[in-house]
Order: sequence, then C-alpha cells, then structure tokens
Amino acid sequence: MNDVTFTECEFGADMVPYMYAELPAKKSAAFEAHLLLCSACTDEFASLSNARYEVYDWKKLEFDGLATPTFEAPFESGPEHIAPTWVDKMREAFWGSWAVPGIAF
Amino acid sequence: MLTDLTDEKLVELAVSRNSEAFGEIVKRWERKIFALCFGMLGREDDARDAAQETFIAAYRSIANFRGEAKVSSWLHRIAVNQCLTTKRRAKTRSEDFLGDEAGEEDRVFVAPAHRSPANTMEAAERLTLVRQAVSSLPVDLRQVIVMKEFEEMTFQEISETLELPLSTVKSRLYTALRQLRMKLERVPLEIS
Repeated sequence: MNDVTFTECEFGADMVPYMYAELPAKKSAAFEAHLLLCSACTDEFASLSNARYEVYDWKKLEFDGLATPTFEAPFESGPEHIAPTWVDKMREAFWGSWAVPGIAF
Repeated sequence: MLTDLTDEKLVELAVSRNSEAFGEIVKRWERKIFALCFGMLGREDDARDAAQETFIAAYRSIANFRGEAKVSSWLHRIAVNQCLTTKRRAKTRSEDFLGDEAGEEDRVFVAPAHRSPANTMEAAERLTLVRQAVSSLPVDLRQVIVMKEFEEMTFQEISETLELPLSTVKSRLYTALRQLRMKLERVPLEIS
C-alpha cells in the first residue's frame, strides 16, 4: 500500500505522532503553535481525535474489564517429570559409569 | 425544537440569553470537544477539565462569535487554547510543586457519558458501531489500529514488528483514523 498523502499542510504528517505523544518536544511545540493559526489543521486534528477516542472508549468499555485468562498445563512439564522409557533404561544399563571404561578397554 | 436548529441558530439564541440553546450546543459537541482535548492531553481527567473550561470560555465569549467560521471550528480553537493552557499549567506545577485550584467554583460538570438508561443504550449502540467500523477496515489498517490502541505499542515497535518503514506505519494509522471517521460520521451516533 502506498503512503497516503497527508493534508496539504506541512504539519499534516505530525498529527498522528502528536496525538500519541510521540513527537519530539520541539516539533510538538511547533505543531501546537501551528494549530493556533490553522483552522483547517485544527478541524482535521479534532476529527482524527474523535475517531481515535471512539476506539479508545470501545477498548476501555468492552475489553479492559475482562480478566486475563490463565492457562493450566494438563500435565507436569520438565525432564524430571518424564517417566523413563525402556530406551532410557537400556542406555543407563549399557552406558552407566562402569560401562565406559569397559568399552574403552 | 432546539435539536432541529443549526449550530449557528443556537448561538444566535444563546447570545440573546437563551441558556437552553447553549445547553444544546454543549450536548451536541461535548463528546467531540472532549475527544479533541484527549487527543492533545492524553489523559481523560485532564481532557474532562479542559473540555469544561472550553464550554465555560465559549459561553463567556459567545457574544463575540461573528459567524465567519463554523461553530465547530470556533469551539475547536477555544479547546486548543484551553489544552495549551493546561499543558503550561502542568509544566509550571511540576516545576514549582504548587497546586492550582483556581476556578473550581466556576466548574459545571460536563461528562461525556452520563449513566441514564437512554445514555446506556446509546453507549451500547455506539460500541456496536465502532466494533463494526474497526472490523470493516482493511486488514493492513486494522492491524495498526489494534497494535496502537490495544497493544499500546510505539510506532517504532509496530514498524519493527511489521517490518515496515516508520513513515508507512504512521500513514496507515492516519488513513485508518480517517476511514473510521467517515464510517462513524455516516451513521449518527446520537439518538435524537
């Protein structure tokens, strides 16, 4: 998707970062000063803020009150909880400490 | 009925001391002015205060409204001024560690969500509309909205996660908000 064209004004691209307080302080001050002079940008910013707030309010009312789901594993996890198989027992039998020097010999 | 009148007509009536007319202006615009203040200040309590101050200032200066601009633009301008005043006060407060309780006696409570049964139903309908509007966005726009508003990720984090340039992330969010605005404005959110 191509980048959208912001408003004709040079400050158009600053609207969204400003709304989310992600504009550096100097640019933020410049944007605020511009809002006092440019009614088109003020109206546009108000319009975007309105749409944003509706989403924010929806999230707050419908989701924020929900408890975070917890999950319980249906079985104990970790190697110490895995029952040894017949292969493990054979390995232990043939590769136990006494077997190594025997094989090396 | 006041609800059938234009904003300009309501201002005209308010100038001639019809307080109900001004009340209708407040009712019509309080949520949008609150949203603008929230967009500038980032906190609901600060936004609420700034919105109240906006309507107080508007009431005081309503006789000066000449009609060159739309009533909404006039209110937006007052709101921007109030928000910048709030920011300056907050900055001064953080520097001086002094509270600022001036003007409490002038405050008139203006809340964006009074909990009467009619408002509760209106709020439920609004939520449904917003849910549908967000769901109907193209997926590349919807994911940016969700990551920003629900996951509260920064633009940088979204950019890295989606492997998109930062400018693309910002422009997608801008487009998403514009499309949401059009979808929500197409359907009246207030019950008359």
